[in-house]
Amino acid sequence: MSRRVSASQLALACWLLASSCASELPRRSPPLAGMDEPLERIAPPDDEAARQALPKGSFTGASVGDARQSLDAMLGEPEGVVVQAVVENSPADAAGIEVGDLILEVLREPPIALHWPSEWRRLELETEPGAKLRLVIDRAGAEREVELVPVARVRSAEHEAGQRVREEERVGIVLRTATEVEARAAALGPGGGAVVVGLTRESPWREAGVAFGDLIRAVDGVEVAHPAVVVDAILSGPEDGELELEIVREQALVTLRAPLSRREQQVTEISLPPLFSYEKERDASTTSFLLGFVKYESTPAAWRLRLVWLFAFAGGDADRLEIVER
Amino acid sequence: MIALLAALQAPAREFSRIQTLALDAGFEAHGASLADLDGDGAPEVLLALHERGKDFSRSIEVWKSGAGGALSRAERIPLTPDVVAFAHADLRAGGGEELVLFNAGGAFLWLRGENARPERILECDFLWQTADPESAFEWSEGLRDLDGDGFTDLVVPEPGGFAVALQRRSGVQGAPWGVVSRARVPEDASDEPIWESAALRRGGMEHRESNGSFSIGLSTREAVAGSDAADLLRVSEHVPAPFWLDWDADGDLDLVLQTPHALHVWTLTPAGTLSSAPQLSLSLPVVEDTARELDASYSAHVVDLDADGRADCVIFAGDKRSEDVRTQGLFFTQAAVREAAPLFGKDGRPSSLLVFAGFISGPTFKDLDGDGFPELTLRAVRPDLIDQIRSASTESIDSDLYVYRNRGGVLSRQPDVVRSHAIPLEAFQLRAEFFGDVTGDGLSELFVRDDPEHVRVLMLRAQGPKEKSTWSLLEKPLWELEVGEKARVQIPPPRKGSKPSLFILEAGHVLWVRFG
Repeated sequence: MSRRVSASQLALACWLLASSCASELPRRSPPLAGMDEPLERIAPPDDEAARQALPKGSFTGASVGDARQSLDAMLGEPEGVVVQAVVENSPADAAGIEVGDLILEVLREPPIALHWPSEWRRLELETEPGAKLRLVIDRAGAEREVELVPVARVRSAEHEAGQRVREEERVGIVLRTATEVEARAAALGPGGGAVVVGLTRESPWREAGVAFGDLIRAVDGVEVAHPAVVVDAILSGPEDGELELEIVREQALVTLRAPLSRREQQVTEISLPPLFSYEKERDASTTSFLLGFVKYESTPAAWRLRLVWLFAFAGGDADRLEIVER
Repeated sequence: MIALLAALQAPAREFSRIQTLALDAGFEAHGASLADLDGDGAPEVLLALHERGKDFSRSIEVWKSGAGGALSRAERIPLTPDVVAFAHADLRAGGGEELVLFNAGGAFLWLRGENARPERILECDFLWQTADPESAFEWSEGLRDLDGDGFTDLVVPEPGGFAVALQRRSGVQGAPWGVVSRARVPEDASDEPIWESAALRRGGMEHRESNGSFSIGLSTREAVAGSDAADLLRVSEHVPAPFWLDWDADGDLDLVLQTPHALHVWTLTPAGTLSSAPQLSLSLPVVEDTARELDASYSAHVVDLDADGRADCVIFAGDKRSEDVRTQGLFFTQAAVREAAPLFGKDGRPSSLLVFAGFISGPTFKDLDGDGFPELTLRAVRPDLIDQIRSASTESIDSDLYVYRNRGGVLSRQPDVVRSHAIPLEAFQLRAEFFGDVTGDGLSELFVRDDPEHVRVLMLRAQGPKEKSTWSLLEKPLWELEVGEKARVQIPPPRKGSKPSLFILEAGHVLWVRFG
């Protein structure tokens, strides 16, 4: 026995079909599009010869690293620096410092709390050989004070590889660790400072005057002892807020106020089945009338017009470049 | 004719492709899995590694297919010493899967590459409170869509129960894991005895996920030479393994836990919450009592046997009234219960029964033919097993693999497939499991490792018209490989639209075997 399908049943079926096909809403905003990362900025400059020529500072014999040894610790600023190696018979060895100790603080007026390895390296560079350093260290949960007397360093410290960090939710920026030469020129310790090597095209920091190659020295008055300091400041800043950036540009200090952006809102889907539908995802859009009787799709590189489901016209960028008149 | 010409011209597809992932010197792999982290549709290989001789020097390597399908190391993610486990799933609904790391205090999303940093997604007391210095294990069972809204939810075992966090579409920006419930296991689950193991006798830590439960044992011993050193501290935490399936046919997954005396049910509310205490506690008709601890065949399973959207229960237990060694399979279906308490009915009578000669082990319910009804696969050993071991008359024991087909919710009375294995008596475990359709005929193939140095894939074949077809296993292997005696084999969960694959973890390298 055959049954006729009424228009309302058909509409209901279409609606059910359309709602079952609805895609999941993304949980997070997409990364900011249009990141510019000039090729010449990808690798840090080769300034090893200049680094070797820099004053060598003092030698403590303690190599330190990032103290964030747990996921919880990585959610915030590190507390102290962790000792990764102690040279035998070095001042650190004589002071009783051991691998795994956490160096928390330097007792002087005012006390210096340590967070990043670059701050320890800066201390080594700035302390005169023979001057006493009183340190607070944490060993297995118990704090103690030790006295360390650095000696003159006779050879430059080992070169340390830099890092690149990326923030692409609010500002759209790529930073690399400054080289030791760049960092010390900005009065930071080796491993400190963040050099701008990538920016999204619509980044609010471009408009604020941040340029490729700028070395960010401080954010809201806090020294950039690691590029992560900048990223944390961006991510924890208020919506529509601003950050005060202290930038070293061509050996001059520049201060800028750089806004934190809020994203534009856009309509990505309109559906009035079976009359009209419109969908936009990233750079691709699809517009359709009368269940696809007329359908137009476009991306930045190509387009296609389909009529009566069968007839199609398509086009887009060719595989040749236009000849540009000079 | 065109089709014939096309078929002739089409290049012959390899049946299997083996790719070697060579590890850096000094590293060993403890686990391997597949995850599409970059959202390009092709999965990357994740390897859980440890640097030999260095405690807590653990990492996850991401290997990506490049041009021509060659695999290369794309990233190595060092794990901080507190990381106990990891998992991967598409948590953010789009853009690929994300990596989730668990420590004693909760679950964290790990942003990769130049964005590398953790983001806390759930604060809870993870059951395994201490990390293994040599490995971080995969806990992807903890990530699943419980309410069917398309977003992955989170289930974390805690001491005494489970933390369940649901993502909702209406979640506030930055806090999508707003609906957090804590299901507390009733007290009769805490009867689990403290186990003995070499690791615990030495003083150390061990976590287990077996016998239907998750456990952690931790012991600290006096540093005294000899075996008489006393425990300074011994801790054992235990929660039963959760079964997540639809209890009430409302389309979402509910939590079912089996404790020694009861089956407890928590139903998920439309708001996405679970109550602290179970809504329903059903006394088990066959309890796991002290006498049952010696019953090698005892196990209980919650599964939807008849695909009616409601959970059923199957209990396997030794038949104590029989003089012969035999095991009963008691099947309780919700559809069969008309009155009184659901599932077990008024008097706890099963709706059907299967009897097996001897002991059984490893019963699993898996749909082998894609009809939506799970088949029963189990291994049985002869009734005279104990005499056989005692007399040491042989160097191996015989074990039979049985497959019972499920036709429309009813299991065959007799096994449809039987395969015998002789298992060496020395410390080796037979591994035989159906792992997916390799040949494309709709039937799952059997992976077998019945001797330590060979792995094989056997074809499950159907003969005759569909309704009355019979199944058999082809003895000639479809595929076979010689492996090291200590090699470990991992079968990653099936991925939508792709054929099954295997990982073989050996010293210095990992083999990824892809079929079809």
